[in-house]
Amino acid sequence: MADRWFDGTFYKRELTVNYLDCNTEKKVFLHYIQGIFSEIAGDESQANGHTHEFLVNSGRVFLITRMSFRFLRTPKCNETLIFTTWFRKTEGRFFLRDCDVRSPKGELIASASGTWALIDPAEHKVIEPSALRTGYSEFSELKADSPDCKKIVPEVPLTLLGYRSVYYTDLDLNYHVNNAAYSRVATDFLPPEYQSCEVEDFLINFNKETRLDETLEIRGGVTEHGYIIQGFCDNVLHFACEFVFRKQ
Amino acid sequence: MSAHGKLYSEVIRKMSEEWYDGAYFNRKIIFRFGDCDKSKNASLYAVMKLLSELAGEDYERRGLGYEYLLKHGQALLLSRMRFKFVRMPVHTEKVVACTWERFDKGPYFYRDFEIKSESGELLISASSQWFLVDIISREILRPSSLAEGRRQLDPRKSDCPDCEKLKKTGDLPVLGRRPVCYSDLDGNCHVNNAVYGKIAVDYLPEEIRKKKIMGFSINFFIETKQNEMLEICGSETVNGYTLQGMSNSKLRFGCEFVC
Repeated sequence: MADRWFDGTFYKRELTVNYLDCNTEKKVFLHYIQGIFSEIAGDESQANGHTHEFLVNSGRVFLITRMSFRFLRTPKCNETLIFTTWFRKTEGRFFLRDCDVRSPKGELIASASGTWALIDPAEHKVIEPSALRTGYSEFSELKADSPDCKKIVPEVPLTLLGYRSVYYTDLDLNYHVNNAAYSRVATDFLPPEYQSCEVEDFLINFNKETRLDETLEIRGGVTEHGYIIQGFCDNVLHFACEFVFRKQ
Repeated sequence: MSAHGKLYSEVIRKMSEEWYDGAYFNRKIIFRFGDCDKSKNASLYAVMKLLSELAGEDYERRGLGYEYLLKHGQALLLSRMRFKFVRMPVHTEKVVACTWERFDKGPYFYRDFEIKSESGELLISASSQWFLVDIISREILRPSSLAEGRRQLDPRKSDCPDCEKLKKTGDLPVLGRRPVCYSDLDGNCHVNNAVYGKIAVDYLPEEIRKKKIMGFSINFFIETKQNEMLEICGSETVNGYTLQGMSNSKLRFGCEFVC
C-alpha cells in the first residue's frame, strides 16, 4: 500500500515517527511536524502538476508566509501518524491550506493552518493567485482546529538570547533557510525550562528569507501563556514565533 | 513497541515497506524534501539518520530494542561508520535500504548496510561498528553480555571497506566553534551520531562540498552533551578533507571525506 494517496480533495500521507525525529523525552520535535506539513503541501502541488521544476521554469515558487499549529498531544517515538492536507481557499494574495494529524484509529492529534504566497523568485514580487490557472480546482472550506494564522507582535520588548549562524544544512532547494529550520532554531533558544514543555499552540511568521553565511540575532521573552522568539539579521525581522505551552 | 501492539492495518502497511529476508532487514523509502540539500541530493545527515534508524528498528524487531536494553541497564552505541557512495539518492527517489548484522569480534558488533535504487542499482554501501555499554557506568561490555534475542547473522561484507580507526591529528586549523543545541540531542541525552555528519558538512569548505563525495569515515570518541561547545578543526588531505570536533580538550569525533 502506498504511504501517500488522494482521498477526494484531501491528500494523505502516513509515516512513523522515528527515534531521531524525537527529543530527549522521545516526543516528536515541533520542527519535524512543521516540516512534514510544508512537505505534503509540496507533494500535493507536485501531484497536481506543479513540480518544483515546473514552477521555477514558470518564474514562480510557493513560499510559506505564516503557519499555526494546535497539538492535542505530542506524538511519541514509533507512533504512526496520518497527515491529511487540503487546499481551503485563496484570500487576497494568499493560498490557505489546512492539515490534520491523526492516529490510524482516527484520533485527532494535531492540526495546522498555513498561508502560502506565489512569488516571482527573480523579482521577489508576490504574484496574484489567479496567475496559477490550473491544479487547484479541488478545495474544501473545512477549517482545521488550529488557530488562525496571524501577525505575531510582542507586547513587551524582547531581550537578546544569542546569535545563530546559518549553516549549509539549514538550506533547502530554494537556497534559503528552510521554514522548519526556524522552529528548530527557536526551540534551541528557548530557556531550558521550556524546551521539553508540551506545546499546545505554535504560531510562526516568515518575514524575510535568510541565506547562507548570515547570522540571526535571536530575541525572546515570556508571554502570558508561553514564549515569543524573533530572529533578526541587520535589524530586519526574518521570523517570529509564539509558543503556547500546555498547563501541567 | 512490538508489532503485536500495533493495529492490524498499520502492520499490513508496514509489511509493504519493511520486510525481512533472512538476516537482512529491508525498508523501502523515499527521500523527502527535508532530507535533501540545495542540490536535491539526499544529505549525509539523512543517510546517516536512515541507517542508524534501520539498525535500531532491526534490533527492535528482533527483541533487542532500546527499551529492552534499557531495562537491562544496557545501550548499544555506535563507534565507527564508513560509507562508499556510488551516487546519492535524489529528492523523491524510491530506494530500498537494508542492513544486516555480520558478527561480533572483540568488543564490537559489526553491521553493514546497502541502499539500492528500485531497479537494484547499488547507490551506497556502509560498514559500522557498535559496542554495548552499561548505561550508568558507561563501562564497555562484552558482546556476550547481550541477550541473544532473535539475532540472525550473515558475515557477507558489503562493497564498503571495513571501518577505519581515525587518529587525532594535531595542529589542524580551527574552522569554528559549534555550540551543542537541544535539537542535536537524542533519547540518550547526547548529540546523536547523525548530527555529527551534519556538523561536518556545515564546516566543509564550499569548494569541497561542490565535489562528488566518494567516501566518508567517522569515529565517535566521547559523548557530547547539551551546552558543550565543539571546536571544529579541519584541513585538506591528499584526496579529500579531514575534520575533528573537540570539547574541553577532548576529541569527540573525527571524520574524513574522500572526494
